[in-house]
Amino acid sequence: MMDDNVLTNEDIGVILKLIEESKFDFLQLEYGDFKLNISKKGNIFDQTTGEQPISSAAVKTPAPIKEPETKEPPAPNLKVDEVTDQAAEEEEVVEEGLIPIKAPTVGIFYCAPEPGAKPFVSIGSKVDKNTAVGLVEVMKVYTRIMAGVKGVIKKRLVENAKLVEHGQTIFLVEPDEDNK
Amino acid sequence: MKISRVFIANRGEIAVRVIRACQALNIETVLGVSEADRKTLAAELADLAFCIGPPRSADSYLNVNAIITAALGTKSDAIHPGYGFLAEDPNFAKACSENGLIFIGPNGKHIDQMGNKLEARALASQCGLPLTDGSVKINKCQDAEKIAEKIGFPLLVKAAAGGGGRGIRIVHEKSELQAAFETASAEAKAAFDDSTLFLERFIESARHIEVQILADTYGNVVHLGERDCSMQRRYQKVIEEAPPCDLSEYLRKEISQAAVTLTKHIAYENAGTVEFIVDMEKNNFYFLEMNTRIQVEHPITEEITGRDIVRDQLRIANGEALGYTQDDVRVSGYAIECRINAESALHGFRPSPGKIKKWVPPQGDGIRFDTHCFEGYLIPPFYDSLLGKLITHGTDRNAAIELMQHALEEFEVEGIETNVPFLKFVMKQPDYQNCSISTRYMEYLENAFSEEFMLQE
Repeated sequence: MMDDNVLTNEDIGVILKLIEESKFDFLQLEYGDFKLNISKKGNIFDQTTGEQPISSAAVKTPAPIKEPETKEPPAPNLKVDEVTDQAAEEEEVVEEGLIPIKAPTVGIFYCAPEPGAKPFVSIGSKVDKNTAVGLVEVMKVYTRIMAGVKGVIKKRLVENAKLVEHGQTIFLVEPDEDNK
Repeated sequence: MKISRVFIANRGEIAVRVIRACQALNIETVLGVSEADRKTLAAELADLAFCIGPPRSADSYLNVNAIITAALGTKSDAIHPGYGFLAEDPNFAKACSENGLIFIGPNGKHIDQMGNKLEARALASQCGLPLTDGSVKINKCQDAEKIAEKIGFPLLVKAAAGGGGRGIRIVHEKSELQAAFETASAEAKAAFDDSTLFLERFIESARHIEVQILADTYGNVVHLGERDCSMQRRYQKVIEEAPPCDLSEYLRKEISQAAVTLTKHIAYENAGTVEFIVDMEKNNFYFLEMNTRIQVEHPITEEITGRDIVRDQLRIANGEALGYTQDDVRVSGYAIECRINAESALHGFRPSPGKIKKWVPPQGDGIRFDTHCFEGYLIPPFYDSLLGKLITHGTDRNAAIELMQHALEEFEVEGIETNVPFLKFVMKQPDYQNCSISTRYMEYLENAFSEEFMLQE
């Protein structure tokens, strides 16, 4: 476990600012058990080990992502069929020529490594097969969602901190011609 | 009602059964489905079908984290586990309560206690239930030999964590003991991650009798009578009936009273089944185990008592009192259930998954068919082979058998093979019709069936 004295959220904010203003694209910091990877362009995993678990970067920082139940205003009026319609709609929107990025597991989808942080990707972002595009949380375990395809993000179909089904389409990607 | 949306962590006919019970109580349903089960009858009937994982059960129907997350995320307030899968996993029941979800069944402690056959025996013994001669846990084969001498042969080598017929061996004489001990131990280790075994006297001419229990959270306990499940193939029930034929009123009363005593002794809650072995020669009965879930064969009890057991499960989980007493429970008529499986009776009962090209289920007065199948349904190869449960209810056993014969005759299914030819064969046997049944009768019938079929060939 990380020692809380090593770096606080504010410290990371300062580091992020410094990197933002610097001419460097990428910072990798290791201090004992603590590892921090920061990247201005693309994705941290492209530039490091690729298969590194997400816990080494975002999740080990203090103030982890809050429980979705407390974050989301309670929706007592939510009808089951609304959820169904939503899910069904999302099933059908796969447009011609676009490739879906699907949820690898049931869970809560997060578009950014922590609340308030920059999303992993946004519309127009270039992605590679190994680009992380979001997180899915299942019972406090976070799994990276990999793009799995080279191309450009065209559409995001799931709002931040929403429940996703196993296999639900989250992003649509326009694949590069040299894809595959 | 506290429960307004139930998450169903199961599939097949029991998922359909639970959805229908919820609908009758105006409870919304969310069905957790694997990728292979998106287009099923249950998925269609549920208010929402939510994909929890890939086809393999380990990644979907047995994935506690995925199911809890999906249940919380869909704002369900209770989970019905059905039977099989996570129904008797104490950690699942505990995970539900830790996450503020009502587990529709007993609490984790009861599942734990009854899941360990040795602990269950100890609890049953505490409240005076008769047990077959047996041993405490045995880790070494040398110890088994000494104890076996005392119990006498034939005996059973059983897994402490057992269930579903796995980790059980019959040993007829001392020379077979070591081999049986080793294979049962390995099987138990693989199936339950616990190789602990114990020995139990084997009763040659036995009937398998079980008692349906319902207990609410206020200490009210009733039994809904006994069922006979002696017609088993490889420790799997095939034909069940209620009430048991040719069993004295005195013995039946003793058995159901024993079941109630155990239920009260452990302050059990919700539906459960206490199983017994009856030695027909000595007219004695012995406690076997308690199943802490809804049973596959619950409909025959529903037919003869008029109670809806799944609905009662939901009401109990919701904190309601049972609302009726033992005196209100009346048994009327006789019911038989045949499990219809997608297995080829004519080819050694091998599984036969595939697409159902024709499906005409039998209908009529006194016929009930609990199923998730329909014409065009593709039976996935990932799960068990149960297609449905055909239940007939008549004024007496003969009437129920006759109705079953008609129903099996009327039932048309094409595209897959089933065990229906074997069930028809059983129903016309004079011994079966005369209630000359025991736990070994099925084995005999299976051989007779294949012989008759060979001759016809």
